[in-house]
This record gives sequence, structure tokens and C-alpha cells, in this order.
Amino acid sequence: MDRFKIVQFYALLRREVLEHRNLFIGAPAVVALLILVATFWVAMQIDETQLAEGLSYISVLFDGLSPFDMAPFFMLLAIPFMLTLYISSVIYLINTLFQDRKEMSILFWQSMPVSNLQTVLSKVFTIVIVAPIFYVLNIFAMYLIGMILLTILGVSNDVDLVGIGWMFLAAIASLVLIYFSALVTSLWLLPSIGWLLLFSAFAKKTPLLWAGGVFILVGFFEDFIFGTQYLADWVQSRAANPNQYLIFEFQSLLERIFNYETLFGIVVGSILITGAVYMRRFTD
Amino acid sequence: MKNIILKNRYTLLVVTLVVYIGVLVAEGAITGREVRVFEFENPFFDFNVNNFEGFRENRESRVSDDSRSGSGEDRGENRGENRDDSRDEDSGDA
Repeated sequence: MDRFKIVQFYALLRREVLEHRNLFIGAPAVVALLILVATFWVAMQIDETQLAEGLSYISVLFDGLSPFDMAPFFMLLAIPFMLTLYISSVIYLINTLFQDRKEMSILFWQSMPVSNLQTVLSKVFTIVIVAPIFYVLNIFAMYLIGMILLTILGVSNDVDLVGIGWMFLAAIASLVLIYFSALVTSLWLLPSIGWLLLFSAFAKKTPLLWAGGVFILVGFFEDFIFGTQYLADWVQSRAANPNQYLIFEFQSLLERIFNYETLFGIVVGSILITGAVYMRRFTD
Repeated sequence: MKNIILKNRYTLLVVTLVVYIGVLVAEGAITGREVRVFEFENPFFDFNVNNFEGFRENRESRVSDDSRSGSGEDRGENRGENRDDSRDEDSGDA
């Protein structure tokens, strides 16, 4: 690939992160802070002897066990972050192209040597690849602070800390699972990403209302005209069961990415993303 | 053709949605993607959108049985029995 194109794309990604740092950095930082404060508050309520006993129990539990086997335990802690990521993604996707037209910055970007395809792809890339990195970094920072507090607690209560070290390794291994879960979820839900981007590029006002309203209307017309419910069934089959895209073991990683449902979702999502790229030519 | 599709934002939206729905319906028909209907699982009644007439008939017969029977306790028992009957009928139809 041309070096200039790579630099261009990097600049577009940097722009996305800087313009939406509240969603990608601020939101997970607030969630991490809330979890730490809540944990600290709960720890303050427990008697110190019981706390030391609990700590030694955790230490024994993780001692000597493979971090990769124990990593799924930490997926539970990631649930609030994943939910925040989903909500932030919806807010970002539905506003990003709409905002460009609203504040007329689209005219500036179209005067630059950047194509509409590159711009829209940078937004997809931001959600699929870049945003999960910031979330994982925030979770890592939270684990690090948590481990430092546990270590201080362990030292002050004469608890064997070897198990805590193993626990930290398991937590680090879980970060890989969390990142790939977010990545696979984005690929799995690429039709939704394309849908939101399409209406973000289309609507003159209230893009979220357009996206929701047209979805209901299209489903209604499909049922009314053809007597089928493929659209509703398609959405239900992709959104209903999180086990389809959350990864709890390293062995299933490739299987989750390279399967018919995911690849077909990418094809369908690409149709909508192509629509969003062409839609950007209407700047009014 | 391209000029017609890109004439304005509405034509582009319609064409994109038609292609999207077309691909979904074609894939659904080819792979035999199962069409699920809305079923409301609850302990009080059986409701299946595909069999709305059956639901209405069951409901009417249940109400008439209730009005014939006496106490509230009986109504509860009858409702339970009818529910089981309607389930049997549904499974028989299937």
C-alpha cells in the first residue's frame, strides 16, 4: 500500500479519536473509576480478618493454574465495559456522518485529498479495531490498580502473594479475550453498523428516529407484501444470543471469525456501508 | 442507471434498502432460514401470532366456561385445564 495512503488513513483515525475521546477514553475511564470506588467501598464494609481470609482463598484458588484457563473468570468484570462500548458505538455511529454535515465540516474534508470511501472506512475501522483498544487499556489500568491494592492488603496481612501473581496473569490473558470479543462482536454486528452509518449520512434531522422508524417500516412491508419475516428473523438470530460473538476460550477464536454467519454478515454490512459512502455526496 | 440511482438521497436510500432486503430474503429462502414467530411464554395463556384465530377461539371458549363455573378458585382450575387442552390441540394440529 502507498505510504501516503497509510499516513492519510492514520490521520483520519486520529481525527476520529480526538473528536470522540469522551466516548472512547472518557466513558470507560468513568466505568473503571466507578467499579474501583464500589469495590473499595465494599472492602471497607468487611472486617479486616475476613478480608485477609478471602484474599488468601483467592490466592490459593489461582495458584499454579494456567492463566489462559482462568482468564474467562475475568470476562464478568468486562461486562459493564462491553455494555458501555455498545452504547458509545451506537451514539458514535448515528452521529458521526450527520454531525459532519450539520457543522459543514464535510465541505472541508471533501476539499482535502481524502475520498468518501476512506472517510467512511475510517469510521468503521475506529469502531471495529480502535475503540476496543482504548477500552482494553482502561480495563488494564483498573486491573493494575486493583492488583496494587490487593498486594498492599496481602503484605499488611501476611498473605502468600504468589497466587495473586497468577491471578494478575489470568487478568492480563483475559484482556486478549475481551479485545477479540469486541472485535468479533463488531464484525458480527456489521449490518447494524452499516445501517446506522447509512442513516447518519442520509437524515437531515433526527437520524436515530430515521434508523429505527425505517427498520420497523421495512419489516412491516416485508411481512405485508411477501408474508415472510426474514428481516426480523435475521436480526433476532444475530442479536439474541451473545454466546455467538463473545469469546470465552482461545481455541474458538478462528472459528468465531471464519464462519458462514459472520462472513455473510460482513457481506450484508458492506452493502449498507457502500450506501453510506455514496450517500456522502449529498452534503446538504 | 447510475444517474437514476444517484439522482437524490431518497432514490439512493431506496435502492440500498432494496438490495439489502433482496440479499437477505434470497439468502433466507436458499438456506431455509427458519422464520420464527412471536411467542409470548407466560403462565396465563398461549399466544402464537401464526395461530391468532385459534387463540381467539380458545379465549372465547375459556371465558364461557368461566362464566358457567362458580367460584374464583374453580375459574383458576378450569383455566389451567383449558390451557392444557389448548396445548394438546395445538400439538395435535402440528
